[in-house]
Amino acid sequence: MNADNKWNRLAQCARQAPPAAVPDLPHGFATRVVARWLAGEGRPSLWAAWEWLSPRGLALAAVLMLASLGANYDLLGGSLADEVTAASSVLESLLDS
Amino acid sequence: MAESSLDVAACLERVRVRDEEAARELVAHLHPLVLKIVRSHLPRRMDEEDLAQEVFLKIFANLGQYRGVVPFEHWVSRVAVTTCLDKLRAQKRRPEWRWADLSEAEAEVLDAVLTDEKSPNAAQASVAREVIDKLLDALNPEDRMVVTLLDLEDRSVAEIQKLTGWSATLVKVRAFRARHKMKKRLAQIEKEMIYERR
Repeated sequence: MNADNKWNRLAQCARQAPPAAVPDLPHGFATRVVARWLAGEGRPSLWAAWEWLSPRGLALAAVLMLASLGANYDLLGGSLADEVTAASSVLESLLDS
Repeated sequence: MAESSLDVAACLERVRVRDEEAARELVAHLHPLVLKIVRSHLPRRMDEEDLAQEVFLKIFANLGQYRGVVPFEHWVSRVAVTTCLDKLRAQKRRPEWRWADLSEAEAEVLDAVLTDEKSPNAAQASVAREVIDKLLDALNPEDRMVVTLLDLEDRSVAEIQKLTGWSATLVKVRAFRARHKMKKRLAQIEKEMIYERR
């Protein structure tokens, strides 16, 4: 029996499970929900927006940083080489004198 | 589905002007529908009543966005599914259950499915559902959602689109990927079962 059949048989068997009976509305449930709603709960908060935004902002900043490093790789390598050359010439002149 | 004979449109008008009695009536009317969805997609260690309360709070908080284009119950279902998905995403651990972790009844059902010697009977259906719930724990929230809706609740791709807001292609891709993972997991458990019986 292949993997497709095994999964299908298991799922088919699970589908036959009788739906669990929905209990009556728990005592005080509606009152609690309405009280929380009237108290302002459930509205999107600034903190929730920050929580959603901050990891995405960080990821975007990291991507932009890597992209800019990649785009300017030659320039960065070149400037570093210039600095090494300059430092070498200073050292050589110091050693010569 | 909600069965009480409530004039939803009139009730919504009253809820929009913060009528407490109407809000309580709406909660009572929608409770069976919300609870059914919450139970299908309940994260581990989360209380169904707590999650149902969060769904209702979102419904009330976003009531202004409901324009009446679709039946109210459809809109409520979407809010409930989205809330469950958010909670599943917040769940950090996704345990991979092994053969040795299954109960005797669960192992028996899985044995019947994997070896094909005997078909699991209808009485074992609830146990089969528990086994699948354990296997689903290892999936990411979106994959878990699509397998539950498609393979366990027998929903169509179009229905899943309406509930989740995903495109048909995305639903199909996720379903393919999720089923592939489920089959791989079953194969792994079968290997463990064979190894244990040696």
